[in-house]
Amino acid sequence: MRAPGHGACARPRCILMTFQSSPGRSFFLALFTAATLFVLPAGVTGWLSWFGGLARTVVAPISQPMSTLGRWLKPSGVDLSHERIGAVEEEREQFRTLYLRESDENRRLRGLLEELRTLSVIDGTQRTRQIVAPVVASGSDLATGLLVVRAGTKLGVAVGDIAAGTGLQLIGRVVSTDFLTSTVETITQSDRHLLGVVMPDNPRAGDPEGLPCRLEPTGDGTLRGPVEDRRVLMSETPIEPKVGQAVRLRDPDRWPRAAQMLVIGIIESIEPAPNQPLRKIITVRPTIPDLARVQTVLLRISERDEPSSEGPP
Amino acid sequence: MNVVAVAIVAWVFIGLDAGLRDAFALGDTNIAPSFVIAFVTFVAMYAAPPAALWAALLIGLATDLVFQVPGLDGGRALTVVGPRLIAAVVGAWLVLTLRGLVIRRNPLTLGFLAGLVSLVWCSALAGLFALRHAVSSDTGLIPSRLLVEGLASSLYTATVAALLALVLMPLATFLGFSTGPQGRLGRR
Repeated sequence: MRAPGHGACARPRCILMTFQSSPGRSFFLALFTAATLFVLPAGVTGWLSWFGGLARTVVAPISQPMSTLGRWLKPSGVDLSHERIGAVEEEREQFRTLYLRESDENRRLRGLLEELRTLSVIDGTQRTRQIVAPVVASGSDLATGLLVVRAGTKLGVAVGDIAAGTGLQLIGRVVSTDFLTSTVETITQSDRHLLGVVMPDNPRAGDPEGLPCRLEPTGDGTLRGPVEDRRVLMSETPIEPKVGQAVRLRDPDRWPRAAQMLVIGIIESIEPAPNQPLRKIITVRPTIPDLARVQTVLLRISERDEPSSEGPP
Repeated sequence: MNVVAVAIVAWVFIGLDAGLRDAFALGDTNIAPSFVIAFVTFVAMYAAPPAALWAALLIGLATDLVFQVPGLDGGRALTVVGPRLIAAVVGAWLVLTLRGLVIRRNPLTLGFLAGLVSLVWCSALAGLFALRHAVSSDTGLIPSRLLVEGLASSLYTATVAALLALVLMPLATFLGFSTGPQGRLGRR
């Protein structure tokens, strides 16, 4: 870097004249290279992510304390005063999620068996591992919903893995990984919609499967979308969603199995659809009020056993 | 300019942006101050022109590498090199052309110039991503939204930069900047 003395002129013409020199040409060459890299499609510049990972690793030692300070100044809104109750509730929620997921899977498999009436090949090798990862950085001038967490490919994190929070609240999914860090996109800031199900208060009565819904982030920390019109079995009575009911993820085509039946949030308000008054639009708020402010996330890493051609030793 | 000292302080300021920016955001919006912009402005106020432009280029490059851009339709996040780098250089250029006309030792000057740099920075980002969308739409950014939030953030950045001046100005000697009396049109 060429840095002339303090007598240097600061007028534009003087600056231009300074760049007639060889270091100046290097500067414009660097600028031109950056501009070229910018307009190239992501597929061509994918190798830059390695440097990005390196830069985030270098910045992490300073950004993590800042992030902790920031989250202390402006917490996510979870009341941690009753930790014991919180732990029990989390455990209950975990078993409830497990139960609902298995019920859902059971229903899916029954349907599959009914449909095919043949032997189905079911991948039973998938396991889920969990890692608690602290958030080391979040947000930028270009994006709010990206959390950088301290767990990367070194720990087995891969793109598409799930991030959950307290009470098995779905936070988002991993959209980028480096050796030591990963980037999680929160569900409330993503531009991707979610398919969920409004869980019935009493699964034995009315509709045991719940009301399917399609939710899109609104930008204010909530998700909004229509629920399917369903009737009580053997009756014409419509099943109505209620404020306070939990909404869980049921989107097997686009989310991994480890994410199914995680909590998306609680119904905050219900309104009739503008064009179809009989259909309802629900607004769902995550149980963690501000997903971008969480201090740690629970990464649920899907593991698959590699098929081995070798026999036992 | 003490390159090592500037690099260390730049590292701290990038860390501030990565860790604290969200805490200062207004509600659920992305309207928040940028500490990096304040530092780029400060360096451009005091460093010799080539050093200021190189520093802006390198700090812009570092922020481009650190902060990823969301992919289209919730896809893979991207490392996009260029937008902040170009914005930082343009911002530094602006300060270099204006710094001869202002009283550098007044903390409010850093606030005012940082606000201007932030305006240019955000407009450049919005313009550059609009251009990129025309070529290949692989990012999930909306340029018009970037512009609106960026313009609001500029006021916020100006306020925070004026406060940061109280910390940065005493550091000027450590960073190798001369804070002596200045003459006409930036000649010191």
